[in-house]
Amino acid sequence: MTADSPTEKLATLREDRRRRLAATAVAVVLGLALGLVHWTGLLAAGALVALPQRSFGWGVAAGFGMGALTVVGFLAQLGLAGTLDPVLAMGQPSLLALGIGLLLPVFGSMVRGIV
Amino acid sequence: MDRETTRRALLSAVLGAGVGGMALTEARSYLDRFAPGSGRVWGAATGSSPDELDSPYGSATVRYDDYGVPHVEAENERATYYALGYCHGADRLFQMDLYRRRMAGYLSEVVGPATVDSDAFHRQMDFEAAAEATWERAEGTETGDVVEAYVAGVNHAREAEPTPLEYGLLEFEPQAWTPTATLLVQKQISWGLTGSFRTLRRALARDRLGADTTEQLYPRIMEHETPILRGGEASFAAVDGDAAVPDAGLVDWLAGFETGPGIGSNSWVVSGEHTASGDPIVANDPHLQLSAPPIWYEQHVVGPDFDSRGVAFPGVPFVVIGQNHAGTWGFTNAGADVIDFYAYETVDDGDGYEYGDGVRQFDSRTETIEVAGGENVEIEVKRSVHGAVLSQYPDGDGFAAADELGVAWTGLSATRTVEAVRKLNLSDGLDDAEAALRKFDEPTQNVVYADDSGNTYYWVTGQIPIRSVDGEPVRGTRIFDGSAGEGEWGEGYEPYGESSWTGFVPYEEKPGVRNPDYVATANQRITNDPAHYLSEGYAPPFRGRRLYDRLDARAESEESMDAAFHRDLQTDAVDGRDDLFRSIVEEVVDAGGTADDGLDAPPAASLLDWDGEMRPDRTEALLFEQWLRAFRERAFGDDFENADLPEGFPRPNFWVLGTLPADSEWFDGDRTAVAADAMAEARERIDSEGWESYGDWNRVRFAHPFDQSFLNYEQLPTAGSPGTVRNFHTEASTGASWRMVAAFDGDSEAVLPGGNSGDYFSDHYDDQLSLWANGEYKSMTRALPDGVDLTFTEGER
Repeated sequence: MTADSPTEKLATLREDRRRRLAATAVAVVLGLALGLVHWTGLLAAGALVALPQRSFGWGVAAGFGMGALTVVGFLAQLGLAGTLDPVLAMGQPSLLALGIGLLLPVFGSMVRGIV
Repeated sequence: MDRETTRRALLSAVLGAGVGGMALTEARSYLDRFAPGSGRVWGAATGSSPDELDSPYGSATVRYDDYGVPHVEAENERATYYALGYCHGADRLFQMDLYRRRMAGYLSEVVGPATVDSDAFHRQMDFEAAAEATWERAEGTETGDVVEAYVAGVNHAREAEPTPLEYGLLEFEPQAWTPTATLLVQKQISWGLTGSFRTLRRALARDRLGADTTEQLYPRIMEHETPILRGGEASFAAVDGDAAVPDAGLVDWLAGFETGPGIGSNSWVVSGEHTASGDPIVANDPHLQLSAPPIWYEQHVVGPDFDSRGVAFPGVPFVVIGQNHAGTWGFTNAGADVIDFYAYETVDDGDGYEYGDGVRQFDSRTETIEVAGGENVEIEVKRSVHGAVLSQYPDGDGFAAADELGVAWTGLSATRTVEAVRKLNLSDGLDDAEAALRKFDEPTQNVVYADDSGNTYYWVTGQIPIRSVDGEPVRGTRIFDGSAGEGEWGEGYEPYGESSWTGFVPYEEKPGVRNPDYVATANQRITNDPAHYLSEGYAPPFRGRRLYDRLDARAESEESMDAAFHRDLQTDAVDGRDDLFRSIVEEVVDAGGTADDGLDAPPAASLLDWDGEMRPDRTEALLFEQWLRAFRERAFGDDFENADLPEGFPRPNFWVLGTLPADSEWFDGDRTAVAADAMAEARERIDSEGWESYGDWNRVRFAHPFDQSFLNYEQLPTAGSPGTVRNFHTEASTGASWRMVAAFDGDSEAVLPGGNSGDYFSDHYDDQLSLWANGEYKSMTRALPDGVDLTFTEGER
């Protein structure tokens, strides 16, 4: 590993609290945007918020937070559109959406255990 | 390898396997559809709609009222229907698309193997070619131009509005709407009202039960005193023999593609002589399939020369039942026989058939039914001189008998119905309306009409064939020998082409009356002495008789008939079967045997004190309906099975059951015993089901085509039965698909069974359901509501 390798840069970022928080904030915004495009964006969102974290555990926690934010954002989107009640009344489809929103970022965040 | 490396390898494997599993298995479909934010299903829930739009036909506005009914106003007719097309596309696109796919035979490519039978039937009938022929006739005419504007409006909505939820669930995209699609929807309605295989069923019944018994159980003419046009004496002619007997499997298979029980309607027109306002009143409630969303779409369209409000079929632009600036009109099914069947002497291994003195080849082609998630199916589509030819089940097996069955149906020809309905919307009074109705080629209907000059009108519309054998007119009650040229229609019939209708019943010779005091139609016999053979069978007279009883009583009283009276009559829940069966109930009560059985169900004796009202809070109504059903099944069920009729072969109607002699063989000579056993069975069923009143059983069961609980309507209790004016069949889910009482004093009201929007996420998906279930109405005013929701500005798209 060289001093300028991406892994080394990531390690440096993780040690610096300010840079780590800034990277996490960018990852959250980017992750939310990716999640609106395709479901793989939810995996990427989890990975993005997990990578700046100092440990695998914190990474997965960040992925969980990302999932929670995705779900809250989705519900807010429905609320603004005035369709929250009928969507929740759908039963299985809406539970599936909430489950996917919560779990895919967590799954993506496991990449923190590799990088 | 250290632990860290092992952990990373393990995580990599888990992630790889997980992502692979998501991307390469069925899971991907769920993720594509339901992922929050990007899932295709959620576009309809989160998407936004434009409110400023361009129209190539001119400016227009759309105002949606409190029930989601669009009020469209524009500077010219085409601009009006462009904007209306947009509304249909925004509110009912999936339903329209489903109608098109079903009728053209392209359901399986999106639904899967479950609809292969339907596709095979519809391809063999080739309704799509009939719709194309109809469009070829309309294209370039004024009506054709308006249809094209409407179609463009639908496609504008298809592109600009969020894609309906159903497309996301089934994972396919809506195709462009076309004029042929509009005419396919019109063909579907016509087929639903006149496409009947009654001839085949009766031919099978004659073979299995005997001709006399069949005539007894399925009489063409029922003996009663209340046809639509009263007076005269009915004739009860016998039936001739069939050229072939269809196999039971064919009859059973075809039953899935025809009109179900309960399809019918009520309508009446009352002249100003009898109304409080001095103006006529029209009432109409067509009884069709009740589904989510409703089969009708309510709309109000205002152009420079017209102002029309009522209901249209989604996919077809014009108000079919409603009221305009000059008049109001309604339709019920006339029950005319406009379909015939022909058996052939086939040659060349089924490629040809004898015809007259020669041999003809079937016009045949092979088509492939694509099946989502299943193997494609190839079928052969054939035509003969008579029209379509039904020749095989979807699995390739031919029919055991009548193996190439010719079908002539008026709707297989190019028809002018859409033009007629447009002209009806534009009409300025009775003369205009009558001129429009002369072009109403299909389906055969009873039309009632009234205008603001005080005219009233009743006539039978639609082309009715005169079929003949050896030059003599005959009834269409049998399967004809197609090779011998029997039962052919007038020379003006051209299947899949343009008919002149020469040789069909002339308009003046169809039953009708101009300026009647009042006329009531409920699918009963039209007249006792028609100039021509009209029908193979009518509905039992329960509804028609009740209508005339109440109209007669009111007309003879000193009270006038206001709109409120007609609304009350339209929701009348007194069951005419109660009178017919009361003596049998008395026999059961006199025989005793149910007094101390420990059941909670109401006793048979309670029916003797009951007023016959089929309302949800009545216990007697529950017992009566369950008893009737059990009684009929006990009378015919076993015997039909022993006669080798297909399972579920339609039982004789309740009028026939109630008028059979007490010592009939169907009761094994003891009607009281059969009725008493049925009573015991009904009471046991009520107890075991835990039902307490009629409303526990008699519920709204309107299902969405996907039959998902969230898409189906709430199962509200309601009133009505197959024997009441308020016609309702809970299990078949048929009944009043629109209730309208139209007056000229501003008191026009109506209601839909559900809501005007087909969008599950809309507030108007089911906002009329409670009103409908409770027998209530909402205003049908032609005043424009406040606030413009959509503005169309002239411009290219």
